[in-house]
Amino acid sequence: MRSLMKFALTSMLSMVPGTLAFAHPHVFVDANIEVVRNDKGEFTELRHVWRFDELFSATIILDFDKDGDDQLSETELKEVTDTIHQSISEFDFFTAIRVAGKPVDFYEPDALKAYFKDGQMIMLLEVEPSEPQDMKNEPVRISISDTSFYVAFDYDVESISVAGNNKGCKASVVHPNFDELYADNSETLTEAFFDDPTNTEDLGDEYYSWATIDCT
Amino acid sequence: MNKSVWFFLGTVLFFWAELGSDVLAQSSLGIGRNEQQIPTGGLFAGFFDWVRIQQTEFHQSIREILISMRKHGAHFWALVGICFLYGVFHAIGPGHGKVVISSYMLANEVAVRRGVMVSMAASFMQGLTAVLAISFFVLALRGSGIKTGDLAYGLEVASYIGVMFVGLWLLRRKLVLKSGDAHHQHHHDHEHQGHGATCDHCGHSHMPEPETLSGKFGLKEAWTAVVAVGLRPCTGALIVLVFCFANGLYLAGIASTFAMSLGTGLAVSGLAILAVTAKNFAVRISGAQDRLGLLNRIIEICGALFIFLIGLILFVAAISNA
Repeated sequence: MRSLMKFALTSMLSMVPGTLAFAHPHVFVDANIEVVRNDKGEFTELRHVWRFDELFSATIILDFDKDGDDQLSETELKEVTDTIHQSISEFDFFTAIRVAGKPVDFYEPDALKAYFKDGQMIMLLEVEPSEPQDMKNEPVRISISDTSFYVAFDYDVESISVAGNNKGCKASVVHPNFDELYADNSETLTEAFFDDPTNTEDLGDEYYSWATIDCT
Repeated sequence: MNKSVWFFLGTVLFFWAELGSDVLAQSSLGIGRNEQQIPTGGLFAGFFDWVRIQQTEFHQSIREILISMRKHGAHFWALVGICFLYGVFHAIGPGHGKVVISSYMLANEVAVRRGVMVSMAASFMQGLTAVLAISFFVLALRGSGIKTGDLAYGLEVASYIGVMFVGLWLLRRKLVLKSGDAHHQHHHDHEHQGHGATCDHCGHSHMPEPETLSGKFGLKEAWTAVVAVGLRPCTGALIVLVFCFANGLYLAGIASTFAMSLGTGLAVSGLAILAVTAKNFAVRISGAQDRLGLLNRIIEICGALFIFLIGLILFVAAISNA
C-alpha cells in the first residue's frame, strides 16, 4: 500500500522540478532545555519542559475529558501522555543531540509527565544519552524539532540552562535562514526528496533551530 | 501567439506545483490531524515558503487575539480580519481543495462566473463542515472516547472518496459519453425514419444535453464537486473553533471560521479564473487548426484524470497512515 502510494506520488511529483515537504505548524510549543552534568562535567541528561499553546491545549481537554468536568484527571492525563509518547517515539522524541558533529544515541525516555496550568499543558520529558558525553573538549548541540512540521518549537538563549556544574558554560541558539537555504540548495533538496518523499529528516541540520551549550 | 503558449504552459506548471498531497496524515503528536502538504519547489519554492511563513505568523496572531479575547472580550473584528487573511494565505499555499477545484474548472467549465461560484461554495462548505463537526462533537461525542481528530479523519476520507468519484464521473462523461455522440446522432436519424415519435425515453436518458456538449454542466454536478471538497474541514479552523467553544466565544468562533472561508474562497476563485482563462485561451488560439476541438478534449480529460488521481493518492495515503 505504502509503496504503491509512494510510487504514485513520486511519479506525479516528478513532474514538478524540485519539491520539498513543508506544512505550516498548527501546534506551538515553548521549549525549555536543561542540560545536566555529572561531577566529571560530562553531559548525562537532557530535561525538556514543553509548554503547549492554549488552542491546542483546549483540543486536548476536549478530546480526553471523559467525565466532562473540563479538567483532566490523573488517568485522563496519563492517556494523553501515553498517546503522545507512542506517537513521538516515531520522531525520536523531537530530540537530536550532536557532539563533534556526530549524533548521540539516547535511551527511550520513561513515561512523560504532564499537567495543566492556566489553560496550557506543560509536559516534562527526560532524555538520557546512552553514554555520558564529554563536554570539556566539544560543545553539545541540541535541536528540538518536528520533522513533519506539525509542531513548532520555540526556544532561545534564555530557554537553556545547565544544571550541576555550569561554570564557564555558554549557550547560544541559531535559527535557520530559509532564504539562504533555498538559494543555495535547491538541487540537493530535490534529490533528497526523490530518494524518499515521505522522509524529511534528510533535510539537514541547517533546517532546524540548534542550541549550542559550550563548556569548553 | 508565442506569448499565449507561454502563458498557458506557465499556468499548467503552476497547478502542478500547487499539488499538495497528504502523506503523514496522522500528526506527529498523535493528537489532532496534520495538514499534510507536499509542496513544492522548483520555480515556486521561495513563494511557497513565504506563504508558509505568513501562515505561521497569522496563526500566532490569531492565538494572541483569542487569548486576549478570553480575558477582555474585545478584538472581535481584529480576529475576523486576521482569519480572513489566514484564509487567503491558506488557499494560495499548496493543498488539495484548490487543486481539485482548479482541475474541475479545466475539465468542465468555460464560464468564469460559475468558476467563482463553485470556488466560493466549496470554501463555505468547508467552513460549515468545521462548525457542524465541532458543534456535533461538543454536544454528542464529548467524553465518548472518540477524538476530534477521529472525526476529522472520517470527514477527510469521505472527502477523498468523493473527489475520486467526481474524477471518475467526469472521466466517464468526457470519454464514454463524448465518443457516444456520433452514435447518438446516427441513432437519432434512424429513429425519425423507423420509430417516429413513439419512443419517448429510449436513448434520451443518456443523450447528451446541448449544454453538456458545450462543456456546461448543471448545478447538481457542480454541487458534487463542492460537497466532495467541502467535506474536509481545515485543521486551523478546527483548532480555533475548539478553543472558542471551550471559552464560550461561540460567535467569535463561527465568524472567524467563515471569515477564513471567505478568504479561501476569494483566493481559490482567483486560481479558478486563471484555470478557465488559460484553458479558453489555449483552445481559442488553437481554434483555426483544431476544428475537432481536440485540444479542448485533451485538457478536459487530463483535468478529470487529475482529479481522480488526486482523490486516489490522498485516499490511499490517508488509509495507509491511519
